[in-house]
Amino acid sequence: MSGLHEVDVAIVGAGPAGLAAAIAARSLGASVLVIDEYSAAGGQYHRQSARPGPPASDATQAERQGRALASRAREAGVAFWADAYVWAAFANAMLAVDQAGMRRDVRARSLVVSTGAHDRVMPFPGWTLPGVMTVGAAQALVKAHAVVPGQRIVVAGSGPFLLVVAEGLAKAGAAVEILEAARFRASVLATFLRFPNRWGELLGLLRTLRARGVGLTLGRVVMRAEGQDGLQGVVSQAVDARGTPIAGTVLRHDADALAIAYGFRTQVDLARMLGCRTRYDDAAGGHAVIVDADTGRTSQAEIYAAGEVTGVGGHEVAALEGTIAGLSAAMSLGYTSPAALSRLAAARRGRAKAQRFADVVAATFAPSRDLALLPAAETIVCRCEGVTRDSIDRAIAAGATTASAVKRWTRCGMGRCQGRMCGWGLARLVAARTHSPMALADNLTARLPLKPVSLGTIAGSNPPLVK
Amino acid sequence: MSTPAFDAVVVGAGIVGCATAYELARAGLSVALLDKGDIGGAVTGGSLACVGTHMISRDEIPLLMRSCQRWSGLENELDFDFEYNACGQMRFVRAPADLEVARGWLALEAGFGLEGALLDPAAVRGIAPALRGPVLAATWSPRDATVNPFLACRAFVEAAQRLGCRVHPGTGVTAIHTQAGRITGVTAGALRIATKYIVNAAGPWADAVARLAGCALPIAPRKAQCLATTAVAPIIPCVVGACESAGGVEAGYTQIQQAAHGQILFNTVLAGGVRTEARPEDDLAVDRQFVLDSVETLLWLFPDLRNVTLLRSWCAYEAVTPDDHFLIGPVDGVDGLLVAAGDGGTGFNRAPMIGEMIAQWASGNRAVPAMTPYLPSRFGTEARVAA
Repeated sequence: MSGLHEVDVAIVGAGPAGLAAAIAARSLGASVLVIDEYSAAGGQYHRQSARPGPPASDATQAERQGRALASRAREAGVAFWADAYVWAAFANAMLAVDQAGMRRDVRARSLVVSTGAHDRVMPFPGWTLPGVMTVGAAQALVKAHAVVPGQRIVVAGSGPFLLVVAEGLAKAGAAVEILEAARFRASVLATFLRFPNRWGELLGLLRTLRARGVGLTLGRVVMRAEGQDGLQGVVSQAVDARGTPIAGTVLRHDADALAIAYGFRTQVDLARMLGCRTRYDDAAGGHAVIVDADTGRTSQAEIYAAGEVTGVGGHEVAALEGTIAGLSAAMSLGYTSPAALSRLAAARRGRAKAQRFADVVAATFAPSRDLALLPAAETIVCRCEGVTRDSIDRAIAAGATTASAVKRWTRCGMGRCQGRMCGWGLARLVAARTHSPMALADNLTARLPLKPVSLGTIAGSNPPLVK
Repeated sequence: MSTPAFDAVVVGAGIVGCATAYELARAGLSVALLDKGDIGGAVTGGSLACVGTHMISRDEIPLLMRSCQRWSGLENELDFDFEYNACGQMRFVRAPADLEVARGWLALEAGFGLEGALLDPAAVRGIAPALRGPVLAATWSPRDATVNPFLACRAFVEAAQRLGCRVHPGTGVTAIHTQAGRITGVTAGALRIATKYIVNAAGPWADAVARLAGCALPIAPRKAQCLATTAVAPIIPCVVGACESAGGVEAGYTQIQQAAHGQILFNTVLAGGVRTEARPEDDLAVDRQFVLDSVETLLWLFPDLRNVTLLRSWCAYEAVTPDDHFLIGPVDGVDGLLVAAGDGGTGFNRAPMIGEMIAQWASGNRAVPAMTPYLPSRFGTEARVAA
């Protein structure tokens, strides 16, 4: 069995928040360990290409930035564990890590939880067809595995991430069409105009998309996917500003791949396992860790959170929160530098401004309640266990009034993905049927293991796998 | 708005509360079933739901036998498939000293006409070929069964609803109303119900509910945890438990079984690990040492499971009484207040019988012989107040 690894600051998740936290904490002299489940640091935003060597000429700006950040952290002496995930957290910030089959135990004096968020999906007829995937999965295919998921790809759902992934897919050679569920009201555009520093990013993206012939339609929702053995087409319908489908607006789009997600769902299970208090904000990804904005401290001593786990706000907020949490974590352990306080103050100012923009984005792309109407009676909601909407409805009628109650009676969310895929859709269905708020309906709890882990790994008797 | 009236209100929709609501409704009473959380969401949902007679309780074997008999016909009676599986139960012996304990139990149970055997390691492997660990022997009780705890609750609840029972999950009792020492009603948040009987089936919260009526019950919570793997092909054909060691549950326990969907459910608590000061509201974390002990014991017995993956874990709180027996029956001092709690982690074994006893009492039979050993009055006033 491997021994206990002790470190000043452990950071879980190497996305924008985790990388910033690592650089900040290390810059004050703390020993820092970053644990990330991917083989290359960067997270979803800075997703790295599978190709070794320097970034390719068509690498996105985000990919280049991620590589630079990771190099900077490494050169500063930050330790990275790649292909490693924390499958459990116990008392005293003791982390149980599975690194490619090997058990590693970590005890950190301070912990920064920057586990990010994952695609938020709503089941709809045909969503289990081969060729239908989440937006994040499409990005991972093209970036990490250099596989283009189709020749004619519809990118649908909601949120700015659709544009980013559509850009990557188009650059990889696919014909891409974007269907964005949100409609932009004049008031939103007016607010957006108050953030001129963000115009360049958006206009750049839109220019690339136009140059690549990518169509963008607002106010359209994918109602179903069609095909026999694989995806052949996507049926969409226009929705009004409240998200309600408008009669007589049905369109069919030829497609052999569909990448779809309605924004992100915060990945708070580790933080909740550690006892950190959360609030509920459906527009910002669901359960969000409550932090003191000035330090990133959670309700638990010496546990900090940064990035999307505190409420989905995008990479800019995440990185600033990471800096705040990393500096605060190191300072609470007695590390400091002459510039520490002024750096902290600058990051706080920047975060407050970026958060105002993030709030506008969240409100603009907030999912509509009518999404709960998408699955048909026979639509599979839980792919792991094959649970249909109909059997969920029957459980609700018999007295299951929360997601956890439906899970017990139908096995929805009890399978291998532990509700990552169906959890939000299930909660939306329960909330719609029982007229209860999402904060009550969305109550699946976090228990170990946070991801499946082999019994041999837990027993500590597996030899390390050579990668 | 007028206050709805029911003959009886059952507080707590675990397996005991659900079975009791069903039996009350079957006896012709109008019933409301309340739970502060989800139906079957607390200790019932955390249970491994073994329904048997073997090595459970030395002085309750006739009751356990009747309960097993009843369970074997409940899928038909309730018209619901809750994965009843008469798979048998094996209790492995690891320490030579426990061989005597095993023989003692088997002799006791044989006296009631129960089948059973002490298996040598070869016979153990005849039943469970994958159990390759170096056990000394194992007891065998062929008729013990398992049920799906969630679906068993649902079966009772749906059957009760068909008989007119009203079910209110997410509805915690906030006040119990009495007049001249008699139950008159209950308030649960915005819900007010008039009733003459309240059945307190609130498990580890039973004392807190009783206190709303000015009573105390000697019931304390005890942490119980469990692990589950991903689904695998059938490999564990029966319930596999550890033979009781001298010292009973205090000396630790192991239970392992494979659910209908293929997941292996397992737990091991070693000596000294049973008691905990925690309460359900404070601590629902699964403990590190528990995970390590459970995995180690499982792999000691079934080394082939090394590459199987752990998928889930959970924690619940059993309701424990000073003598490890249920409290069933009227609570002295408040007319119409009954209790049915104190599972000690084995509530499924008795739930249908408890429901029958309560229904008989509420139907007017104030001397239910089966209830006598379980009456809360056995602890006297002193014990009740001291709790």
